[in-house]
Amino acid sequence: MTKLIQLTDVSAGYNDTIVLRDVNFEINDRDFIGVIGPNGGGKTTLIKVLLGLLKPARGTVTRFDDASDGFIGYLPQTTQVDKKFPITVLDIVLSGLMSSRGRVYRYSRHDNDTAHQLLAQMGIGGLAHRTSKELSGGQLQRVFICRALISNPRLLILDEPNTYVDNRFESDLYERLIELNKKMAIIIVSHDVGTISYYVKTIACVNEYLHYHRSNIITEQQLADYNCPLQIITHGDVPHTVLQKHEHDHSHNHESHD
Amino acid sequence: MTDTVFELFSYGFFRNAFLASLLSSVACGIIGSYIVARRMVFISGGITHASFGGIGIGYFLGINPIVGAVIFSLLSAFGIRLASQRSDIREDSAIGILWSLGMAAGIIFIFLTPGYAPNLMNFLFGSVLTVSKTDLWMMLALTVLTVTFFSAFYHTILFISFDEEYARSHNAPVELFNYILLALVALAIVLHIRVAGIILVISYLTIPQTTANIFVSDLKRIIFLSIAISFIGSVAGLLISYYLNLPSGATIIFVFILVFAIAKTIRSISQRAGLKRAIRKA
Repeated sequence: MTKLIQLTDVSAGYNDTIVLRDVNFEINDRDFIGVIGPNGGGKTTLIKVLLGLLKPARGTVTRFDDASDGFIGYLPQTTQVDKKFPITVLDIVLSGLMSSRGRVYRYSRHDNDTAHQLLAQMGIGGLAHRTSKELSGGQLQRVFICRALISNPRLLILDEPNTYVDNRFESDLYERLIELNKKMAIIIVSHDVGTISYYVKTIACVNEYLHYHRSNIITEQQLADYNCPLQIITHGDVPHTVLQKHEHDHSHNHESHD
Repeated sequence: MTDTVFELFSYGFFRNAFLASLLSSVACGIIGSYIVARRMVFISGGITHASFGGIGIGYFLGINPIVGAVIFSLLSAFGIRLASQRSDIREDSAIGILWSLGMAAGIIFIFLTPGYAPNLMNFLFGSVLTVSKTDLWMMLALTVLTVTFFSAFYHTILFISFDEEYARSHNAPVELFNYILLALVALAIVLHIRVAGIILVISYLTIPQTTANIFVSDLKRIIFLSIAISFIGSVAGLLISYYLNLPSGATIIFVFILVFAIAKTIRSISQRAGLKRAIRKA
């Protein structure tokens, strides 16, 4: 197995607050890891450390970067961009080639064709020349998936990909991820633990500390041992679980999940 | 007052004003599109007013006020960014502080300067009809610099502006580009204070761009369309101000706003008609 990224004794946080502590974690080729944990538990911080956006306060991050086109493809949460920014869908997708094409590069016909193909595969081939303000949240999410994939990355990181996506596209997306996993490692952050545990190979529970569970089958007792309290509710084939933090009274209405 | 447009070009001041309009349309078309796209209108207003402090110090020390303004605008632009990044002060609060600091410094230094500051009004309200050869050369330099930078690095600028964090995950030099672009914004503001004045310079950087954004919503197209709108509007405003004997700066801005209002109306009517057509078809 080829190692892609290794975290050794990593602690990270913001200002004077430590969010992640003593994390030892490695990502290998063809991994399919679901990252779960309560809000504020450090899931996004872990992603930022992996992407090199946040320098750890302690410990080391080693990337075994083989100088491929784009080592990591990244799908952020859509909420962080200005939807009214004047940019075309085609340009958003091409921005996924930023690190491999230099600063002055003008995109080739081949790059454009690849972008069009990806958009077509995502079922939004007709939107290439629209601008971001004309898109729905779900469409923009698909554009961002194309942006993450255009560099043919070794590792694909998806941060809450199911936030804006409708149910039909969600199952499409997971099926496509299984296909992509034949070529690349995938890390998916989600609060919908039940659904992702159905697709992923392993689970990383993040709640200040990281506990790596080398299976996609996990029990409530194991989650409690990992200090990552979860309630698993099973519905037929797809187990459904609801996250729950120790301290606060959870206000989610569980009846609605029936 | 009965000169034909052709005869007007025989006057040196008019030729200069025409050239100034052309250069400012290109530089402000590009920089203004960037400002509008990144929602930097307020920070641009802050830089504009902060630079008044430099003008006041320039008068007081007897140097070219524009030199003082360049220094003040760059310091305030970087100061606002650093203050909001490195401390608890939020960006809009930092803008408010530097905005008023610059104006206060300007007023005090002009008060302390012996004698009367003859073209102070020009700095407040601008006057495209009195631009000098030196002003034109400086504007030309800025225009060439801006056009070169944007055509060389267009995509990098676009991608960083759209999604900074994503650009950072691709190791793009986000901070370097942000500072270079902020410096260009500051320089564009200062050099156009001579043309439009501190009070009105923001109009060159926002109205043509917002008008263009009614019809197109891709940064590159906004840039080209706003250059055209800005040039036509400035020249039309210049001629109207000449024949009606009105202040040129304010007249040009009225033309800009008129064009904006007409564009908005046309767009609303055509959208409504399109919606009705779609309903009939369904």
